[in-house]
Amino acid sequence: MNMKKIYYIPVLIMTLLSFPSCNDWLDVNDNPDSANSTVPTAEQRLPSLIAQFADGYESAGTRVGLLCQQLSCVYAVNNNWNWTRWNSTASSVAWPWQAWYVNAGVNVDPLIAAAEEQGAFHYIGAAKVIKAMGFATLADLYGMLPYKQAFDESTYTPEFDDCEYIYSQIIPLLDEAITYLEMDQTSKLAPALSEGDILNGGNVDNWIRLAYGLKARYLNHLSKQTSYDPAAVLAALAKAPQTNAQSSILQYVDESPATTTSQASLQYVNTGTTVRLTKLYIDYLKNTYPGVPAAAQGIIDPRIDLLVPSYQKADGTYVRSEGVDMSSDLPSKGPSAYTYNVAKGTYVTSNTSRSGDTIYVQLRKLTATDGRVVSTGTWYTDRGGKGLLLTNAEMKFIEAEVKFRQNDKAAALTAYKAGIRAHMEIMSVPAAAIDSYLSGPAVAQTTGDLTMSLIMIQKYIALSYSPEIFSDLRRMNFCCDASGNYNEATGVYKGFKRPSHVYTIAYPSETNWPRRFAVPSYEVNYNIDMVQAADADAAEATYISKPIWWDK
Amino acid sequence: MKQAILVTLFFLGFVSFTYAQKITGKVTDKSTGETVIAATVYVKGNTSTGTVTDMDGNFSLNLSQGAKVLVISYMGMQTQEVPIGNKTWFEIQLVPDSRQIEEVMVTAMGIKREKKALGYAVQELKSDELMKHKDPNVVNSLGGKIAGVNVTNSGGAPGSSSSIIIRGGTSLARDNQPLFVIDGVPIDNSTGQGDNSSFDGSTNSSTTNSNRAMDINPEDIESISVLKGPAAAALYGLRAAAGAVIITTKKGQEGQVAVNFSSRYSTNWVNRLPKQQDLYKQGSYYKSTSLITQTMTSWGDAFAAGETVNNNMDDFFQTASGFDNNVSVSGGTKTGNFFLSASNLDQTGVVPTTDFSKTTFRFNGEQRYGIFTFGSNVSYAESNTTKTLTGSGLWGSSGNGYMEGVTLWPRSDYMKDYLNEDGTKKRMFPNQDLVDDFDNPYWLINYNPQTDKTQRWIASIYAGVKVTDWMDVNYRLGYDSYLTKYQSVTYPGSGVKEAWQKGMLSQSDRSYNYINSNLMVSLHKVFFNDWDASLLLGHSTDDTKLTSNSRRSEQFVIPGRVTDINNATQENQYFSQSNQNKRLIGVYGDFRLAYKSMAFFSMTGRNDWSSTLPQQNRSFFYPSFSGSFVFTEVLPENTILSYGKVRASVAEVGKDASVYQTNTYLFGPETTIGGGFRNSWTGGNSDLKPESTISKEYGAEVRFFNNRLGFDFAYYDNTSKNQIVQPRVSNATGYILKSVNAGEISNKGVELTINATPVQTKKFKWDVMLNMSHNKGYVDGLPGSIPILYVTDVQVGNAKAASFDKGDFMGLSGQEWATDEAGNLILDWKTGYPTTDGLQTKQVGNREASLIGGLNNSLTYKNLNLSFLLDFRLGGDIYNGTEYLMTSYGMSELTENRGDKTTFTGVALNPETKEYEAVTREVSMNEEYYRTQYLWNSHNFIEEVNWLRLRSVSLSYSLPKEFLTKLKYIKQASLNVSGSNLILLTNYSGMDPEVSAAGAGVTGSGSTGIDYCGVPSTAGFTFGVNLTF
Repeated sequence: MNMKKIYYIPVLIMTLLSFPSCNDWLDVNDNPDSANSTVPTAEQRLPSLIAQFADGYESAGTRVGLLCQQLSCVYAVNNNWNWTRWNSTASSVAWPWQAWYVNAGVNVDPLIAAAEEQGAFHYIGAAKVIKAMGFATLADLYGMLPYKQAFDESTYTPEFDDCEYIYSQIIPLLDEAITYLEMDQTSKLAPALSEGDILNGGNVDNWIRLAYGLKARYLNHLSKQTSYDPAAVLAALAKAPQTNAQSSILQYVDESPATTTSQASLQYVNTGTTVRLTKLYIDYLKNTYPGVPAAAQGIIDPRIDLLVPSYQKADGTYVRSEGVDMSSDLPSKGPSAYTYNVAKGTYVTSNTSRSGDTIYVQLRKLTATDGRVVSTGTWYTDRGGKGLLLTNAEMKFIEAEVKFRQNDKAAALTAYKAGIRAHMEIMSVPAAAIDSYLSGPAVAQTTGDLTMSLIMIQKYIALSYSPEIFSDLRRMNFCCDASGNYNEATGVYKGFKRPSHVYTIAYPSETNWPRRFAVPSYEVNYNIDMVQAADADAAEATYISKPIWWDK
Repeated sequence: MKQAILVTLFFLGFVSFTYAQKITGKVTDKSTGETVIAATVYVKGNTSTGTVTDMDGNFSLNLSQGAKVLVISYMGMQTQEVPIGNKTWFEIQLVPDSRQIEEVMVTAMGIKREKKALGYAVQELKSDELMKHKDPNVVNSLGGKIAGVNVTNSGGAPGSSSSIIIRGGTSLARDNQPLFVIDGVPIDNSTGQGDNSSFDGSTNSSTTNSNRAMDINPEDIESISVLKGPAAAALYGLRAAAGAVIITTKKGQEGQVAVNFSSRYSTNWVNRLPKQQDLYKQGSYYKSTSLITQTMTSWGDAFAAGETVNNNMDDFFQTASGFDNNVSVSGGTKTGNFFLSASNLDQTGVVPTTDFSKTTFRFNGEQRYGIFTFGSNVSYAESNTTKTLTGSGLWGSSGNGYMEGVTLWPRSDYMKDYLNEDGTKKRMFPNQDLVDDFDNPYWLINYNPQTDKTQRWIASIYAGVKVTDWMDVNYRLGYDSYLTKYQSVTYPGSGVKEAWQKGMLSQSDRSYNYINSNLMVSLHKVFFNDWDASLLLGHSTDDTKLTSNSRRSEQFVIPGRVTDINNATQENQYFSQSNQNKRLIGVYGDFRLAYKSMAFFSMTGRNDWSSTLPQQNRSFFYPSFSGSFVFTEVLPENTILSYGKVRASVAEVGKDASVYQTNTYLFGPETTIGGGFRNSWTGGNSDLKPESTISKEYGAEVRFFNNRLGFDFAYYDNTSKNQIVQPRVSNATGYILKSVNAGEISNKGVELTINATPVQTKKFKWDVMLNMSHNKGYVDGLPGSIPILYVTDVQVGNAKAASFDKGDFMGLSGQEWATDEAGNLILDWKTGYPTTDGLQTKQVGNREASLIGGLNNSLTYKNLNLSFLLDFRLGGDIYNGTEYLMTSYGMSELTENRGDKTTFTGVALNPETKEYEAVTREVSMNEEYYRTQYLWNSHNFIEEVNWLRLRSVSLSYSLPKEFLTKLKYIKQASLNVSGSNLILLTNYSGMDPEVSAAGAGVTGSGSTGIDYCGVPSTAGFTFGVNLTF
C-alpha cells in the first residue's frame, strides 16, 4: 500500500539526518554574533591592551595619590576617604587588579599567538613589555599575586607568587621583549607596529627604551636589598629614554560629550568632582613645607597653576585652591562637596554648616552655564591630558638618586635638574620660567645644597599620581628616621605625616606606615585558600602595614 | 486520491445508516440512585443512531440491523457499553468516573499507563479541576494541588510570570523549571527576554513578564500530568532533568457534537500593601544642622496638627477587572474526531494603565483509516501586555521603579499632582540635575510604558500505523514558534541618565523557533497469559533557534513622538542582534514487563548528543529502572484495605550546557583609544561535560474502605553533579566569570498525599485531598574555594539570592553587624552603635520553605458544588527589600519610633587600653542610625514566614436537567462564582509573602523570597457562566 511508503519517508529523513551527518548537524556552537578569542589579529588587539593596561596603571596611580597625600577628597565614608586614612580595603584595591588581569593581561597570550602567525615580532615585543610592566606594577603594590598560574586554563584558583619571584621573571621577560623589538619584521603578513600602537605611534625605539627604562625602575626598587646593583641600574638607564620624545606618554584624546569617558584622561575620570589636593602637595609647589631650605622658602614653582586648580569669584578674579591638611582634623569632617548655583551666582556646599569649604577646588575643569569658571582644572585632569607611563624625567631622577648614593654629587645635581626640566618641558612650561626657576634658590645649585630629600620631592611632583610614588615613599621610608618615627630633620618627604584620621586598627603604632595594598575582593571572596597559603597574615588588618619583599 | 478522501473524512467524517428495531430503557446514577437526564445513548460504531435521555432518564431508540452494542455516556460518568442481544428494555446504572481518572495516567511521550504499573510518582489534574478556579496562567493552576510542586507567582500584575519548581532545583545556575509538553510537543516556557540590560537597561526585575506557558488556553486542556522526577521523565532526556508537565488537550468525543460556551467577569484588588509611617514629612537632618528639603526621604519634621497626611499609596492602586470568553465545538465518529476552540481574555491591572489581553484558537483533529491514524493539533495565541517599571526601573538608567515611588513618596506631598499646567512633568527636585530627579509613579505609568506583544503558533502533525496487533509505529513532527515584540519607552523629561533625558525608545523582537521530530516504535506482547512485555524504541531531534533583534533610539528630535524609532538622528540610533541555535539528537528505549496486575518493572535508556557541548563530550547515556508491586493482589480480599502498592525507582539524567559556553568571546570593537578587541570577562571552557542527576525514589500507595481513604507517600533523593556554572572567579584567571563543571546539589524530600471521601450520600458528597511536601536543597563542592554563588538580577538592598557551598541552595547572602568570636556585638566605643565589616557575603537566611502543601475540598450537594483550596507554607525566609528601602527613606512604619532610645550590649575597643571591653550603651534610633547601622544588618529585613491562604474558593450551580430540557438546545448550564486569595493569614510584615522580585525568568535558585517593589498581589472574585449546547 502506498501509505506505507509515505510513512517510510520520515524514517529515512531521520536516519539520514541523524547518523552520518550527526556531528556536522550539531556543530552550531560558535556564536554567529561575536567573534571568539582566536579571531583578532595582533594589530586589532594591541590598542585595547595598551588602553586597558593604562587604565589599571593610572587608576592605581590615583589610589597611590590618595594614599601618598598628593590627593584628598570630600568627606564621605567611602573608598577614596579610606585611602586617605591609609585603609586600603578589599574593594578599593579591586580595580587595578581587575583592570590588569581581566581587561589587559589575559589578552597578552592571544596577542602573541596571533602575532606569531603574522610574524609580527614588534607586537610580540610590545606585548611582553606590557606584560612585564603590568605584573611588576601589581607586585610593587600588592606584594604577592598569581604569576605562574595566572591565565592558566586548567585552574580557577591560581596560586599566588611572591614579589621576589615575579621580579625574577620580569627582568628576563623585558630582555625577551627587547630581543623581539630589535628583530626585523620581514614577513609580508606582519603589520607595522604603527597600526596598533597607540602609545608610541609605532616607534620601535621608544618601546626598546621603555623596556630598558622599566629595567632601571625595577632594579632601582631593590635599593634596600643587599642584591641592589647600582651599576645595573645605570646600565639600563643608558639605554632608557634620554629625551621627552623618547618617553612613553599616552595621549588621551577625549573631546566627546560627557556621556562617555572611555578616551578621557584617567585622572579626569578617576578624580571626578570629589577629589581635592592636599596641603603637602601644594606646599611642595610653593616651597612652604616644613624643613624646606631657608633660601627656597616661599618660592613658587612655575608648574603651580597647571597642577593646582583655581576658581573664579563673582568679581571675576581667580583664587587658587587650598590644600587639605591631612594632619589637621579636617579630613574627619570635611571638606564638604559643593556645587555652583547659577541662579544665585554662588557656590553652595552640600553640608551648609561647612560653607567655607569651597576653597578646596575640584580637579576637573568646569565652567558653569553662566560662564563662571568653577574650576580651571589641572594638567593631569584635562580632557585630552597625558598619561606619563615612563618618562625621561623619571629616568633622570633615578640617575640622581643612584649617583647621590654613589656620592657622585655633581652628576646627581645635573640629573636632578634635568629631571625637573624634563617634567616642566613635558608640561610645556615656558622656557624662561623653567630657566629662571632652575637657576633660582628654590632648586639646589651646588652639590653641597643637594639632598636626597630635594631629589625625591621633585620626583614626587614629576611623577604626580604615578604608582611609582608609593614605591619611592616606602624605599625612602616616608619622612622617618631609622626608628620608623616621623623626623623632619632627617626624613626625606618632609611634612609627610600620619593623617589625623589614620586607620589605627591597621596602623596601631606611630612607626606603622602603609606598606602594601590589601588583597582584592575577588581573591578574598573566590580564592581565599590560595591567598592564605601565600600569606597567613593576609586576613589580618595589619597586613597592609607589612612590608613587601624589597621593602624589608 | 486516497489522501484527498482521507482529508475529506478528516474534517467531515460523519456517516449515516438506516434503522429497524425499537428499544427503550432508563439511565440512573448508581451512586445516588437518581435518574440521569440528557445522557447520550447510541449504537456502537454508528453514532448517527443515538438519542439522549429525557427528564425521567428514559430513552427510546430505533436500531438498525446488525446493532450489537449500546454505548451510554454522560459527562462525569464512566461510559458504559451494553450488549443488545434480544433485549428491548435496558436498566442502566452509570458510575461516576473519578476512579477511572485515577487509574490511567499520561506518562512520558504521551503514553497512557495504568497508575499501578508506575514505579514513580505522577500526579494528574483534570479539566474540571482547572476550571473550578480558572487562572489564565496554567502554571498557577498547579499550585497547592500537587505534592512536591512549588509554584511562585511573581505578583499581581496581569500577565505576570509564575515559576514552577518540582522537588527543588537541580541546577545551580540554570533554569530549574520543568519541561512543558503539549500534545507531544515540548514547548518553551521561558519568561521575558532574559537580560538585555547592557542594551536598554531591561532586566528580569525591571518590569513584569509572562512565562510563555501562558499562551495555552486552560479551557483547551483535558489533563495535566506532572512527572516529578528523572525516572518519570527519563524518556524526554536532558530537557526534563527538572521534571516534566505533560499537557493533553481536548479531543472531540465519539457520538456527540457539543458546543460549549463560557463567559467570566472578574474583579481584583490589592490584597496587602506595606505599612507606611504617617507622622513625619519630607526632609532630612542627615549630617546637617538645618533641614535639608531637597530629598526623597521623610526624615523631616513631624506633621503639625491640621496638616494633610496624604494617602498616596492607597490612592494609587485601582480595582482591576477582566472579561474572559471561550467557545468550543467538538465532535467525533468512530474513526475521527475534532475539537475547535476560540478564547478571548481582557484584563486590567491594579496598577493603573496596565493590562493584559490574550486571544487563542485551537484545532485538534484526528482520523483513523485502516491501520493508520493521522492527526494534528494546531493552536495560535496572541497576547498583549502593558506593564510598568518595577524594582529599580531600567538598569543603569539612574531612574526608578514605580513602586519605589509609591512606597517612598513623602506624605506631605500630593503624589497625584504630577504634571505642570503645560503638561510637562512636575519635578520633585527642580533645582537639581534631571538625572537626580525622582520620577513620580504616575509619570512612570503614563509616560514610560513597557509593553509586549506575542504571537505564537504551536502545532504538531502525527501519523501512526498499527503494523500488527503487537507493533505500533508513531511519528510526530512538532513545531513551536513565537515572536514577542518588547517595547520600552522613556519619555523626554524623565529623571534618567543624560543620554536618555530627551527620550529613549527600545524595541526588541525575540523570535523563538523550535522543530521537534519524534519517531517511536512500540512492541507489545502477552506471554503465557500472565506476562505482559512491551518495548519502545524512539529517536528524536530538536532544533531550537532563538533570535533577538534590538533597536534603540535616544534623544528624540520631535519630543512627543516616543514610539517612532526613526525619530532620532543617526548617531542616536543603536541596534544589536543575538542568535542562539541549539540542537539535540536523542535515541531512547523503554522496556516494560508486567506480571498479572501485580508486579511491574520498567527500564529505560537514552543517549543524547547535544550541540552545546564540546565534540568529545557531546554524547552521553543514562538509564533508569523502576518497579512496583501491588501487594493487595496477594492478600485476601477485605473490607478495610482496598489497595496497596509499593514502588521504587532509580534514574540518571544528563543536562547539557547553555549555548556558546565552549569558547571565549570578545569585547569590541572597543570605544577606548584605537578601538580593537579584548577577551570578554566571561571565560569559555572547551572541555565542558554534561551535568548529571541521579535520582532515587521510593513510594507507597494504600487505599482503605472501598477506596474512600487513600494515602500516597514518596521519598526521594536526587543528586545533581558536575554542575555547569559560571561562578565569579579569581581575576587572575583572566576572567570575572568562567564556565566550569563543579559542585553538586542534592535534594532530599518527602511527599504525602491523602485523598478521602468522608461523606458520600445520594445527595451529598465531600471529597478532600491534602498534599504536603518537604524538600531540602543542599549544595556541595562549589568550584575551588568559592563559598558562594549569586543569582544575577536578584540583588536588592544589601542582600542577594545566593547558594552556599556546603549549605543552602536557596540561601540569602547579606551583611551583618560585626560580632566577636563569642558572638557578642562589636560596638563602636565612641558612639555605642553596632559596627560592620562591610562584607555582604554572610549567609543570612534560607529561602526554602520547610513544608508546603495544599488542602483541596470539594463538596457537592445535588447540583451545587463548593470547592476550596487552602495552601500553606511553613518556614523559609523572605528578604523584605521594600522594607529596607522604606526604612532608609524614613517611610517605614517602623521609623515612627525615630529618636527613641535603644540599648546595645556587646564589646567595644577601648582606645586607651587597646582592649575589648564588655559594654552596654544606650543610643538614639535617629535618622543616622536607621540610614546606616540599622541597614547594615540584613537580619532586620529577613523574616521566617508561614502562611495559610484561601487560595481559591468556588461555588458552582448546575441548572437542573428538568429545567434544561424545557429550553431546547441547551444540554448543560452552570453558574460559577469563585474567589481568590480572599483570606491570607501570615506572620510576614510586608506585602503578600508569595514573592519573587525578578519573576520566573531567573535561573539558579531564582528570585523566590526576595521582595522588592513589585506589583502587589491581588485578591478577587470571578463570576462565570458555562453553557453546553
